[in-house]
Amino acid sequence: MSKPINRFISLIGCAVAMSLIATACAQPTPAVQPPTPAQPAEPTQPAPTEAPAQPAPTEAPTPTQPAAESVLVVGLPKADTRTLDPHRQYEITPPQIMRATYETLVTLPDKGTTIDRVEPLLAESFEISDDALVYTFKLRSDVKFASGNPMTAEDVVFSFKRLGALQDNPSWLFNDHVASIEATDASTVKITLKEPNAAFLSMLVSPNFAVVDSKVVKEQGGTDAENAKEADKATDWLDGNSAGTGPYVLKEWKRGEQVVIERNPNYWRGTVPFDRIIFREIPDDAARQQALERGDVDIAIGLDVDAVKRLEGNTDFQIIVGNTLDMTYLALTTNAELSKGLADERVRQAIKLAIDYDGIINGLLGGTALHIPTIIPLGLLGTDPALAPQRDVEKAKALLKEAGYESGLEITMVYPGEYKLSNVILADTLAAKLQEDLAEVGITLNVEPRDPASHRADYRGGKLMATIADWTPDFLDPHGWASAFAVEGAAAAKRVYYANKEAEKLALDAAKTTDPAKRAEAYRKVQELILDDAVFIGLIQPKVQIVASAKLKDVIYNPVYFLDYYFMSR
Amino acid sequence: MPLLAYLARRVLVTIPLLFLVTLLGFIITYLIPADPLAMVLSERAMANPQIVQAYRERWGLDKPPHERYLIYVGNLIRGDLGESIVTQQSVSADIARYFPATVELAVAATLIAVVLGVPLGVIAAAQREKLVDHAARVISLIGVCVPVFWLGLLALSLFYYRLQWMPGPGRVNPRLEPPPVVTGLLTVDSLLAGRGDVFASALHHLMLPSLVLGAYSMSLITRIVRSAMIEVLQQDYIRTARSKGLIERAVVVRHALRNAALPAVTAIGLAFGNLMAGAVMTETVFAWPGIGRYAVESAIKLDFAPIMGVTLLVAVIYIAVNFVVDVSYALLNPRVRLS
Repeated sequence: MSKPINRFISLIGCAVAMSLIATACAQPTPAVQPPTPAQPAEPTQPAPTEAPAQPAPTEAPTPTQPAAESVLVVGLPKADTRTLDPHRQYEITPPQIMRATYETLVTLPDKGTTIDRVEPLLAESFEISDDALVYTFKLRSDVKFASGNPMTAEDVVFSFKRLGALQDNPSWLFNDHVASIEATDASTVKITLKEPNAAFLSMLVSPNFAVVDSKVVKEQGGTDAENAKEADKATDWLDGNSAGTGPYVLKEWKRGEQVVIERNPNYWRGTVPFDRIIFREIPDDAARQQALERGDVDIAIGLDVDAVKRLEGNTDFQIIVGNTLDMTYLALTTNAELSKGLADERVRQAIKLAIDYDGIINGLLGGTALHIPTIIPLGLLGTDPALAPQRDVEKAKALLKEAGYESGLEITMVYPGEYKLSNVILADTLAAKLQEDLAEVGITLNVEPRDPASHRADYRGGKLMATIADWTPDFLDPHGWASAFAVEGAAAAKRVYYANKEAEKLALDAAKTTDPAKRAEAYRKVQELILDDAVFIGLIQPKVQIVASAKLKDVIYNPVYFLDYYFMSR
Repeated sequence: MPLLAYLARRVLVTIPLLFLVTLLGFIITYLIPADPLAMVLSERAMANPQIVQAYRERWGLDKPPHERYLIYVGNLIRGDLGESIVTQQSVSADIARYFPATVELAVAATLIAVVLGVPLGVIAAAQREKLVDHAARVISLIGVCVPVFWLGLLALSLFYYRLQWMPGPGRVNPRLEPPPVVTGLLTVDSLLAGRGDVFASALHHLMLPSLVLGAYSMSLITRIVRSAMIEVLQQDYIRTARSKGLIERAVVVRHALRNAALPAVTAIGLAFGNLMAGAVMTETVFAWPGIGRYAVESAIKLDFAPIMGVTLLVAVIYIAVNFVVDVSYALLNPRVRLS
């Protein structure tokens, strides 16, 4: 065979390949006609009357004629679900499924848009003693489980005790706080805490405090006994079925594929609009976006910033933006053995002033994040965006000079490579940006990517000089953050050897106060102290962007359940 | 029974090989300086020594490495692949759940590769330096050099999103009630249950990903068949066959193809092995719940038992494919002896 022809063929091949690549890389322009949604398979069903703010059992609106099935399909990125047992799950994906199938004593008001207070749901009312030690809940009398069994105080006691006894990921919510729980009568539950804690009420919003049908769960091998850790056998069953009071029941969970929930015919707040909701995993962002545009999914979660931008202005879709309580921060050690430079507060402050926060949020994230001042996410009690530090290169240089590092210093930052911090920003990108910012004030930042697992191990072990990391909420109260970051030896504080007696005392006392104004003041002060010490430097608090079909009503984000499907209709 | 004796010998050689695989896998996993518990336990749970201890005991992490390895091997001999720390499910159950999806995809991809690749190679060789040949070479070049994840995205974007000829990601239309699981292969299970709608949907969903996954193998097969055919067609016996007045098609198919088939069989075998690697990407792009995604997710979470389980499975597949290739050699060419 003649060589030139061979080369010619290769050239053609490569040229074709290149042009294909170019076509694929080019974003489809808006000029492309909007894809016609798949044929309207589901005629809209009469939506139920607006959910009453103070939910009263309403008559189920029965469809006058048998309508075709009304199905909602949600496109999820790769789900991290390990289990759908409400007392064991502790991952990011499950809460929205948990919320549709189980309910809690208290919930967030205003369909979940308000996060700084809670109101009753399965409880009719509650009372907290003045010393924030005893919580008493009076239960609603009209609540039935999906099985038809009525909900009683015994179910609540069983559920909470099981949460603690399983000794799994979320068990601390019960074990760390509750001294005793009892049903004083069929509709009253009394919880006594180990020590006063005003944050406990907001913990009860967490889907881990789901009230389960104790009769059904016991039948399936569940137990709330001390030895539940070994004796409880109900999880396998709960992974494929549910035993809650929620508007939907779990029909099927195919790991790595999809979760299907169906309408609960016995739902105490009346009938919900969808016969079925399917949560489908479509790990690839582009494929998920196409499925949304084709109408194969009604809601797409976790699309990247560019994809969302492209859908802006398209009247077929609505974009729901909400503030998460996630955060990404820079941690600097105070341990002189790890870094003599960083042990000097002035150096840490210089770093704080050297960072181009606006550049990170607007430049790298297209404005889809808040600038979190330090550790407590904005929106919670005692937070204030005005506390956030601003860039000041001159002042940073002056501080370095004062500390004796006029000619510069070197710091090594280890970070999780190829890892998306707070699910929104690649750690590598953020590291490169910080490296650039610090170089401007004369600090050489060596960046070292690690695999996420060993990074986590080293950071937890307090072996790192500097790192970037993220933190997700355990519950809705500032106590969740203050207790981990401001208290010496606590989960986060110990990693950078942080100790500040004043901040610690404020953080611990704030949890024992019931007066919200006093608590807010204390948490504000805690943040100011941490900002002065410059050990945990807040970088971003991401906003979540969800794209949904414009036909859907009440797609409302909240940081506990993500989306509450009870309110949603078409 | 030389074939049976050969088979027995091969199996005997395989066993120590598999143990070597487990040992290597174990050492590599052990050398990663991270605690698998940190990937499954939350911050708060890690702070609780009771929970940490319970997890350590349950997964034998409190024992020294050599002891852990011996326990693992002991369980393995009893057919127990262990339990995933992340899903807390037995690895054999997980593999049984995910593997059929991958098998379905890999078989379809191999079929496509063979059905398209072999004729394309034969025609290209017979019509050498003509338009068909050039086209075949361009196609196979693209197939070999374009990464599979990218080809997948392109295919989805074109055939699903723009032209709307193909269904989207996933194995089947989620609105359809799934048939009872018998083999795990949706196409087979739907037929067994007499569900034409599910079968049609499953087959439709299978087309695009298997075409994408099969593209590389198809290109490889085309190229190998083409060059083997060209070589064979220049042999003396072909000239003899032609001079005897046989029509060209008979020469090509009956005389040349049979002899060119040997390297093609190797290529097909290799390609099947390669599918396992390509499957990871294809499965992600097409939301295909198969073993590739399971392996990657387990690796990210340092979940030892699934990593080992999948490694062993892939090793077994490779060994089996090699065996089949060797046997086919012998069947196709009597001069090759199994020894």
